[in-house]
Amino acid sequence: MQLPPSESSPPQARVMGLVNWRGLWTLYEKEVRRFLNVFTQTLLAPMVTTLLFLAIFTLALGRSVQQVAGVSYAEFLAPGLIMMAMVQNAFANTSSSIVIAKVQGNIVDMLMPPLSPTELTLGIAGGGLSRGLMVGLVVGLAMWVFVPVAIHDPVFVLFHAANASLMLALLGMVGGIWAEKFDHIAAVTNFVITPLSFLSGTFYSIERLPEDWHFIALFNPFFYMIDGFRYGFIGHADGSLTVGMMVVLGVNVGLWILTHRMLATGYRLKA
Amino acid sequence: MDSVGATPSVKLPAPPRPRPIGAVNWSGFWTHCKRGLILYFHYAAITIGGPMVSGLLLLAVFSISLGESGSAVEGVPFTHYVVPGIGMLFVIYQSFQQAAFLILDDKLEGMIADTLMAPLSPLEIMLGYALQAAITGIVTGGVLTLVMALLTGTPLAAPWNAALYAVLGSVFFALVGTLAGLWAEKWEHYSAAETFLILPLGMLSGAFFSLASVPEETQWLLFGNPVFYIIEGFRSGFIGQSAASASVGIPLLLCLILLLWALAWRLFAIGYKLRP
Repeated sequence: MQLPPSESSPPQARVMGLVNWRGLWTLYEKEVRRFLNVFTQTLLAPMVTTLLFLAIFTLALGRSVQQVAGVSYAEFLAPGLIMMAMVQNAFANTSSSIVIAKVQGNIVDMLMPPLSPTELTLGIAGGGLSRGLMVGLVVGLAMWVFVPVAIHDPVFVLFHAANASLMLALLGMVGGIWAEKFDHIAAVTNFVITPLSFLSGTFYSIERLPEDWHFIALFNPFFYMIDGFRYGFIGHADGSLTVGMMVVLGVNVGLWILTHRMLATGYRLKA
Repeated sequence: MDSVGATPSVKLPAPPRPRPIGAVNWSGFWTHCKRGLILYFHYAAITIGGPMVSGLLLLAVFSISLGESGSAVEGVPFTHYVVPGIGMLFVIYQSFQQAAFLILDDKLEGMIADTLMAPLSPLEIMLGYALQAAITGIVTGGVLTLVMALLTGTPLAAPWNAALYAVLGSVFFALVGTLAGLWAEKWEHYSAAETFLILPLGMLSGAFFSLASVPEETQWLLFGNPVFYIIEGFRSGFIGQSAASASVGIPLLLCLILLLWALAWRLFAIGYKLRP
């Protein structure tokens, strides 16, 4: 039997250029919708936690610590707390996305589509970056009600907000790909990310540390992020601003290459 | 060969009898408690190690921020003042999380049927969830407090006072967690209860700052917060003094515990959000 020749031609595969723009956008959109869907947990919860931190620290220390770096303690603390919320949320976004997808098995839905490792990195890290920046905006606005912080230099604020969120989003991807179960990523959060975000100058000026400890701050990218971000608000930095920007950019490039490499080789992702 | 129709004379063992259960199903109750405890100790790195790191970080951050100006609060060094506060916070959080997490996880995974079908009364089921959670709270918070007290040289003025309030605090929040676990239908509900109820109650309770540092017109916030009495009472076990009077705190806490207990028992008895 012979089929009559079809009038219409069979559907053709979509022609993709150098970049699969639609796929990239879809992946990014999925990552963003994932956290916007539960915004009470992902935007409001960090806001509440940060305001509580602001309250307890100003109440507990407000009388004893009058001035830090030439500004009131609350003004000193506010940028650090905003940065802490941003980095913790950027990390949580990408790491949970990948670990959940791996544990549930739907990671194949990300690996099978025609997306290159670069596009995967961009899409997922872009989601974490967006979460970090949105949390920063929400937390910053809420904090501004209680502590009217002025912006001294918006360039530094934006540069460090974006780079810190990107750095932790990439770290979250590396952690998520490495982790095999939820407790692995919980351990990274508990024992690496939280200590780094607490001890890198969020709550105190680095001058508070004993002399021998100063050099540790100079190798800690978290210190530069917080310091530079705070400079954008209060106009005072503990460390060098140029070195800070170079360190942050350098770490981001390194993490980007590592993440790309992990996705390209399929480390702990493909059998 | 024997004839085909002959029945072999095999002596059958007596059929197993159900275990006689008295007024309380002790064995079942203990098994029910043990399940949560096994889970807790299996994930000790997260359930004990996590709070340990967070608690020590808070302590470090407070000590470094204060630095040389480390002034005294109510006549004692700030670190001695804040150690019991941080310790009790983690007793409370762990008790709450353990109870709420276990019940919600059981519900979502459908395992709750195994507990509901077992020959356990509603009271035994409810108490089992709450008791194991209270134990985990005391272990997590106790270990953390001990480590912090050793590091800072905090005295232990009245150990029995500290123990009493540790029990009150952990039971109180184990019951709150039990209710939250029953009420929650998904993880979002659980984390909403934690973020918008437990966290503010715990943080704004005088764990980190003294009553005197709060402006007069907002002090009612502390007096109206049961966690304030728990933390001040626990602290009096260490530094030997307290801003809250025990004759108000203990009756208040006992009444609230009784109320939560009765409510949780009733909800388990009618199968609220448990049975269709």
